[in-house]
Amino acid sequence: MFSPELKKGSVELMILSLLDDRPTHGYELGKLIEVRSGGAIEFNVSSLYPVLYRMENDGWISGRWVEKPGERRRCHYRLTRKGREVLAEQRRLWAAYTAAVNLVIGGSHA
Amino acid sequence: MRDWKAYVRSRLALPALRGLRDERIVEELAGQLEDLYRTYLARGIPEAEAEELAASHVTDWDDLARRIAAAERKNQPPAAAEWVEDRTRRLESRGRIGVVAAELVRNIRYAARSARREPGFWAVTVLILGLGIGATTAIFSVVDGVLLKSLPYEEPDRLVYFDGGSFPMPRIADFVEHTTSYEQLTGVWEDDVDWTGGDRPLQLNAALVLPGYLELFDVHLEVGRLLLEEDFRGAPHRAVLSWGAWQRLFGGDPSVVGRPLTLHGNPVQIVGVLDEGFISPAGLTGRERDVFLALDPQWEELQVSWWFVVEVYGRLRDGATVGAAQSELDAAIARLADVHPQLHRNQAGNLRTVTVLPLQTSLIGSVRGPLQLLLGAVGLLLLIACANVANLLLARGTERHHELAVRSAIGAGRIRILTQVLTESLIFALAGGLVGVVVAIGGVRAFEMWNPGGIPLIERVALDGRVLAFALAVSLLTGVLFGTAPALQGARLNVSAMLKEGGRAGEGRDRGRLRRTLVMVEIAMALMLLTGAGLLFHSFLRLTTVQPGFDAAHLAGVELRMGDDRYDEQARVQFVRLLLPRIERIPGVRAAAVANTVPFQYYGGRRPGWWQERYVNDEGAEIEQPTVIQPVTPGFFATIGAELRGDDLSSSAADESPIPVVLSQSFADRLFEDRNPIGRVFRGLQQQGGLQDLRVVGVVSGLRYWGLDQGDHAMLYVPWERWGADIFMTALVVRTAGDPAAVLPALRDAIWDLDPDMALPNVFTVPQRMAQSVATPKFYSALLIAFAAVALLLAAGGIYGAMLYTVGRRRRELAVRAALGADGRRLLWLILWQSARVTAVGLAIGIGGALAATRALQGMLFGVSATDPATLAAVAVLMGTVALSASLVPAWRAARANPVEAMRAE
Repeated sequence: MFSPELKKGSVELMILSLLDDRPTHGYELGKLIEVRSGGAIEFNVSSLYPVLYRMENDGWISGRWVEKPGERRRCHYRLTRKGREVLAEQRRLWAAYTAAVNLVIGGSHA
Repeated sequence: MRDWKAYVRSRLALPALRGLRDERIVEELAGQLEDLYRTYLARGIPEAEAEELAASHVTDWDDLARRIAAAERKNQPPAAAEWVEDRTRRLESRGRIGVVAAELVRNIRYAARSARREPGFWAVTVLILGLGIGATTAIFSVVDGVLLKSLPYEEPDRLVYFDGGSFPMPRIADFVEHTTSYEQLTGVWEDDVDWTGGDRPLQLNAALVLPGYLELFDVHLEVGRLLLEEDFRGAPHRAVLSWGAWQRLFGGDPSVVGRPLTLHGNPVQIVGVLDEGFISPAGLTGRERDVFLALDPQWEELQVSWWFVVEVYGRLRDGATVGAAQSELDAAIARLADVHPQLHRNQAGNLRTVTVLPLQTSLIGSVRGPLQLLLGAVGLLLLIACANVANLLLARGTERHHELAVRSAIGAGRIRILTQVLTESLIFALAGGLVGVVVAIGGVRAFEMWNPGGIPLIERVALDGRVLAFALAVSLLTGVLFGTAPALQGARLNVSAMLKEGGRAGEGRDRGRLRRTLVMVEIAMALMLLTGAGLLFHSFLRLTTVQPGFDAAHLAGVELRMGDDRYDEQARVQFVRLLLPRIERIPGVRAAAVANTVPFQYYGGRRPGWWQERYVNDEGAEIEQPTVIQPVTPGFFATIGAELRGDDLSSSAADESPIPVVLSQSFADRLFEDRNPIGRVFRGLQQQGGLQDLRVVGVVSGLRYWGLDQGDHAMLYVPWERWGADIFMTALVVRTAGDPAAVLPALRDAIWDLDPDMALPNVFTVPQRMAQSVATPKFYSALLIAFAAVALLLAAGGIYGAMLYTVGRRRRELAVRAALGADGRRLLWLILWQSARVTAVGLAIGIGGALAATRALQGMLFGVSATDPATLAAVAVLMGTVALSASLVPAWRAARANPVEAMRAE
């Protein structure tokens, strides 16, 4: 529905926001984005995973392998302190950016 | 269900397998695909279709792998780099020094980055430098320890040694009485004594010292007392032990003080033990003494003019110089020669001169030349390494210069570019220096392990602060040396031309010329090293192929120690008469004889024995010829397998008159010129009754008694029972059927059967001694060959690189030539010709340099002149061949120049 470029600019913010609620694993993240956006935004594994991998490498999130009884082990991600700072910054920037864009295109306030 | 992990693993191509981390990535991706698959299943989609749907979430696996890799790369350098950049910027705001420091930091970072980009180039460069710096540092540490460090005594510059061998005691008394330059003039008689009292007799290294000798060398005591005036009375009977002997023989027992020792059958009382740190001059040359006995200068046995036993050491008065001391001594000897001619003139009436040498000079005399030679050789090696690295740096040029041009274009000044390139060179050099220190540690260890002995002060060689400072200085110097040319080239770039033409301009003619010059220099210096190595090797070959003039392969020798009071002349004769038949009965022994010394028992210029120099020949002419008198038992020449003209000395020889003697050919020539010597009577051998009548019964020729390099020395063989028995030196020589080493134990047993108290420190085979006698030239020639081999390799690498570069640069021209119809062979010759020109000039310079430099080698050569044309020609041909071979690959590449391809590349 949305172009990859559009999604790319906001995927980090979405992941950080979701993980701010609670730690979760990769598949769950994809599903949560889809559900919360009412099916409007979808990510497949090949686009979501490299982002997670990069965010972990950058130290915004950290993964931990958790094995629950009767299930295979999964990597659960949670926000790091740095991730939380980045999230706050990105939220502020996103709000400012969308507001500015709305002003330009003359639409109503978001 | 599909094995998702295997599925992912088979598709995801990460750059290289990196273990656990990749396993995690695979597991995570597989897990997510499996979750998707289960979701589809739960929606009621059939298994196969669910698998396909899940799999469709990743279509471009390569893209995925690239993005994962990109996420990693992006992450690696940044934090540290940003931090450094941040700090660097802060530095810059702190004034001028800050700016310089910041620039330095930046340059170091550029270098580090280039090292990451071109690890192979860095490894080769650092290795070459490491070899050069390491070899230089290793040899320097030896030179430093042996030649440069001052001796471990107080004011060592004031210590002197009288060069001229040993002196009779009355002569030393003359020196003491008639000189004023010395605070202390004393002496030592270094001798071996037999210590009996243990299970087997043991030989100790003894020093019989005159009063004041130990004090000359800042001696300190561990226990007991030093030698006092009252100890120096009559025959030696008081002693101090060295710390080493105290530990070895008495286990460090302090109660040894006051205890008697039996030395040479005489009781000697120990009064003290020297402290661990003491090292005597003999110890500095690796022959430390075990026991120091008080030697009374008035002892009546010493009051003869013919017993040359005491060496003289002294400490100059404050302010006195060696030169002044020498003049004083010369004058004194000239004056005293009239009063005591028997002391100060030789038998022929000439003055016996004495040279006053600084102690250090006297200790290192024999190794100074070789060590300086080695230092020169590694210096050349280092220069070759520098030229090689400079060449490599220039060759790296193209892309590097492009980078520099870009930097220059965005505002970096010339100085800045210059310092950047120079910093990089210095970092190369320092890294090379680090490798060099490791090489040096190994090198010094190898040097100590393989050196054949006889290098004095070698135990003082250490990689200490001085040596490390030297290594650092050499590294920095080399850095500047090989870095300057590329730095200047870099700063002189024509930026706009470079950028416009894709980095092809600027590597113009002068750079090619510079590179060729460097190669010429490399070839020239490598040739010099090769010449030195070639000469030493040639000389070594000559030496080892010299015929000794006797059957060395089957000889064994034993020094018979009959010097102590248990043996008088008759006892010695008796002992030998009993011993020889017993020895000849040992299985494997063919023959046995006795002489003062066995051939090759001494070598390296030493000829201990009984010397005479005055003779009157059959025509009544006085002949002055220093001669070693060698008393031998009958059958000596047959035993050693020498070629004898005339007769051997018979068993009745000792009682005949005139006394039968055998001459060496050289001595016979000197006495009788071209007259047949056999049967002639001449006079010699000064005894109480004057000269004796001697009758020549035989002449032995070509016998090299004192080493392969010593020639046919003048010798006079006389009947042992007549004269040998009154000289303390006696040796048994045995000829065996097989390997002489096999009979050594039986020889010992046979001797101990007759005298269980005889110490036998020298039981040897002649082949063994012969190998030892050439060990030193072998060592130096091996070292120089090793250096030369490295030099040859580096020079070959240099010319290979230069030619490869030339071919690359002339590719267009070669392609045009090829297009115009030049065939491969012609192009091959074109390149080979250029290489040959460079090589020829290098060889010409090298031959000139070699001719000038190898003169320093002359003293180390045997049977080869320092300008030996054969050696020079051989090494020049070798160097030329190697150089041309090294250019074969580049030339071959030129020959295959493909016109189309090469033109397209432009």
